[in-house]
Amino acid sequence: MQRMKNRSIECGFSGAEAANTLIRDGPTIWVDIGFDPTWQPDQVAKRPDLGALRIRALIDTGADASYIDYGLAARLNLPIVNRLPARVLSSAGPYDAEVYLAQIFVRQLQFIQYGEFAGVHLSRYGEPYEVQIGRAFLSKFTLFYNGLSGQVTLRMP
Amino acid sequence: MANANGEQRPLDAEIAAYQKQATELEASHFGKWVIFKETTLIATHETFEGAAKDAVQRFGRGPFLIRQVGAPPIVMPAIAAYHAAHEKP
Repeated sequence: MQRMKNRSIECGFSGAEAANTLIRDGPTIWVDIGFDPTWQPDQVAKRPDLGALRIRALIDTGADASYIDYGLAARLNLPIVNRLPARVLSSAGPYDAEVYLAQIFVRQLQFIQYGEFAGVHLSRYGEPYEVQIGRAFLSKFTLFYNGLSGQVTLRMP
Repeated sequence: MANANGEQRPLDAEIAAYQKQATELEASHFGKWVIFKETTLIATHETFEGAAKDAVQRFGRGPFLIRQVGAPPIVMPAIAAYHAAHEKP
């Protein structure tokens, strides 16, 4: 993991409708994501060569894991490194979700790390983001959520 | 483990090897991250990041399995669960 301290990014909204927009859309950030097998986390000066730049990611504090759209994972040719049963609350019952390995880069925070992302369909159904970031990723940050103003801040401790 | 059509899927060998050793691993390495390559346990790590770094250094793109010992099923977030229920990979 590489990161710079004392950086933060706004991932909420501003303006008169900010609070309602935050309710509707949730907090999001822009990330670069991909897999560069030549990159190592201790290479401070080197950035991984990632296949997807400025991908919209939803910050989802209700999820323990992180997720990536199957189409994006396929386009990036991400390696599959796990397959786990996925608990789905529907009549379709459980199924096995493939888990991909990727490097994720938050440019505004200069933060890079390996991450595991369970595959789901998002863009096929018109979701405006292709990545969902869960609590495992957020364990590296503090998150300030102001539902009154619509502002959300993600900060390096 | 083959899928419903009898086809082999990526990581079948690694997952079968993990499951064969699961009881022993859960007794001795619960919560740790393990790397399997084919039927061999390669290493254990404290974190996913450590396991990923090690696995990529050893095997590049893989295939390899990285799994947290004793990991529960993935709980899909609400929107993903809805979509997953209607569209399996």
